[in-house]
Amino acid sequence: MSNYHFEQALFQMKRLVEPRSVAIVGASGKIHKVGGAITRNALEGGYGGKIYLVNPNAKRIFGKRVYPNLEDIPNDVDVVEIVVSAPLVPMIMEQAVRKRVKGAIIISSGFAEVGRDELQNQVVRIAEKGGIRIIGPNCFGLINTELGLDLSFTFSKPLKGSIAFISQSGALCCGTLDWALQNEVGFSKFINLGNKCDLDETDALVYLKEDRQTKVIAIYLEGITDGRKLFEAINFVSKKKPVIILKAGVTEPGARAALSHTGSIAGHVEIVQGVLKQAGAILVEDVEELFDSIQVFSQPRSSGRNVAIISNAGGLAVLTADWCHKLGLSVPKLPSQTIEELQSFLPSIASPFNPIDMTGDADYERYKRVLKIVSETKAVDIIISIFVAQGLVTSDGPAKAIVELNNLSNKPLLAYMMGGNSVINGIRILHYGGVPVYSSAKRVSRAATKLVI
Amino acid sequence: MESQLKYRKRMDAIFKNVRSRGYKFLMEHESKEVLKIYTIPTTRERLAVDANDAIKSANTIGYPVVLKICSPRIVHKSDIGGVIIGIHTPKEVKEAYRKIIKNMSAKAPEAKILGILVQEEVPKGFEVIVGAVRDPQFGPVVMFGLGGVFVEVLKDVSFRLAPLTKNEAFKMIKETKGFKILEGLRGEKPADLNALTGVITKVGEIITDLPEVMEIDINPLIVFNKGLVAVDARIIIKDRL
Repeated sequence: MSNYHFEQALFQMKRLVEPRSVAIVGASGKIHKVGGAITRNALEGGYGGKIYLVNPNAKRIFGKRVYPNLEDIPNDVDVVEIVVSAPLVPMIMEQAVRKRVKGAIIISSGFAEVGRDELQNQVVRIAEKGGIRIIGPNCFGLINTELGLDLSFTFSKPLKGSIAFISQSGALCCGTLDWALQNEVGFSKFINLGNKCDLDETDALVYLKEDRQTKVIAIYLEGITDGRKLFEAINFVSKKKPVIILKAGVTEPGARAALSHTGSIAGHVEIVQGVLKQAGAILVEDVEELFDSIQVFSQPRSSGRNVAIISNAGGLAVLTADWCHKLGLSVPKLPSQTIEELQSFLPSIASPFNPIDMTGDADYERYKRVLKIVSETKAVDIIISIFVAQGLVTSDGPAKAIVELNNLSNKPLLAYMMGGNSVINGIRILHYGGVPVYSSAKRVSRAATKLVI
Repeated sequence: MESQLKYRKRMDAIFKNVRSRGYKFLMEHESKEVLKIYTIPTTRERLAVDANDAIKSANTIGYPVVLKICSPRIVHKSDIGGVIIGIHTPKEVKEAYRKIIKNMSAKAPEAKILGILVQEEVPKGFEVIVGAVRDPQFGPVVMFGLGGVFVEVLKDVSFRLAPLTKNEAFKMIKETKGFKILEGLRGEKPADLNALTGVITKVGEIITDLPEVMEIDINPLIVFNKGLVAVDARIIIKDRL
């Protein structure tokens, strides 16, 4: 990144995401308004740093002292979060410059997204004068679960985890948080970039690469401001941590003069996909696929594509093998030595090849034994273990066997549990045991492809 | 270094010549000159100015040959009868020459004709397309796809930022559905993928090196079991620098 001040961006992002003190300008006690929801979340998050509330029209909010003006705060302020109407933002930014604030999160909308480019540019110019970096405007804020710092206005309080989420859309952030809570998926950092008048995905990526809490980075991307810069940032980060990208397919504004074949074929979507892949990103096409992919990275990545499928039902095993094949994975026949070993204890009606059908009465012991043998087979890179409730064995035993192997083996292991109420228990055991579990052959196979380097 | 300077001068002369014509794309033979400078194999060919000149050219190149109209106004040559293939004798050259001129005066009477390109006819091989564009967001980007219906109907193409490595070019090829065909179906010999990745990286170099180039199109590039050749090419340049 030739013109990019890497160390500087890292330092400035760190101060924004890990501040020692935050002032909320436009703080409010009305929790059904953005200012109120932000104030409530900030105070309830368990953040150890200082939070100052600013509002000229209130004395106390939630029992906490309120300052009439940002400059009335007696101590240093690292970050100012601004929740006032758009025309007032330049004035607040001038105050922030005098207060020597380091970063600003501008929640307020009514800027470039509604055509008020000049107002946004004015804010940027003031920030540049004082060396303030900006997230937003028109955004939902940020969350740092490590510090218990919630500067968003969402209902859902995220669990601690290792997944960082960067989004241009605030609504998608809220929806994702809600989903994550229900599915008990934890996050490290949530950063909503809004209009990206200053900081963008590149800066967030540079920060998250170094963030120890973050193991996986998920990005929801709409517009791209500087493609080369983004490419280099992803290329730089994806070598260390998986970067999953959901790109909304905005079609190219203004048709390209199509004098050549290449010119007429080179649509925006195709170029973006090629470039992001080249940078080492993992591309997903929908929110569901994004969630499925986020979870699969509790497993190690794989340089091989050979999948072993272990199931208590032939039909689901074949269905999964079909999907694996369709998605570019291979389901090879196992070596004869492995087959013989499996045959020595499996029932005669079982199928010891690949996919392996252990038959409907396969219990904890049988899952455990087969999983162990298969995981020790060199020809196998990835294991998909399937369970469907058939009235003979409850889901907890097989799930325990899968989790136990997950703790022993360093091969990627995924589970597919089919059913409703009778597999809830098994799904919980797998989830807490760190094994990604899916509800269809397509989803488990697609998630497995994401692990392949 | 000296030779690079010489090449640079030659290319500047081509670009200047194109602009002086008032167009922003290079003719086929000019585009191929640029490809040749980057060591991409192109068909043996010569621009003929009359029927006898065409026969002389064909005799030198060797039969069979192809005749193609060369006019800055005509982008899609075969659509208006500007291409005749499978020419085996001097007599056929003369007939083909006259036929193309006749087609032009019927279908594109206003088009200025620079001449007719006499070109070796290339044996059968794998037909692919390699191109490049300057994207407003990403800058120079290269494209690969299998020719014919694969590109036109199925849009079976892949893209990468330029410049790129041969390894990345190989991934591009592998990403397309047509890859299986290049590997050789039913006992057919595979395409020379090493040469093909070479061309993809070189096209990436051209668009990276030359800021005046907006689009490059090698279509078709015929890939053999060993080696390959650019049969048609087009380079589009900026109006001015």
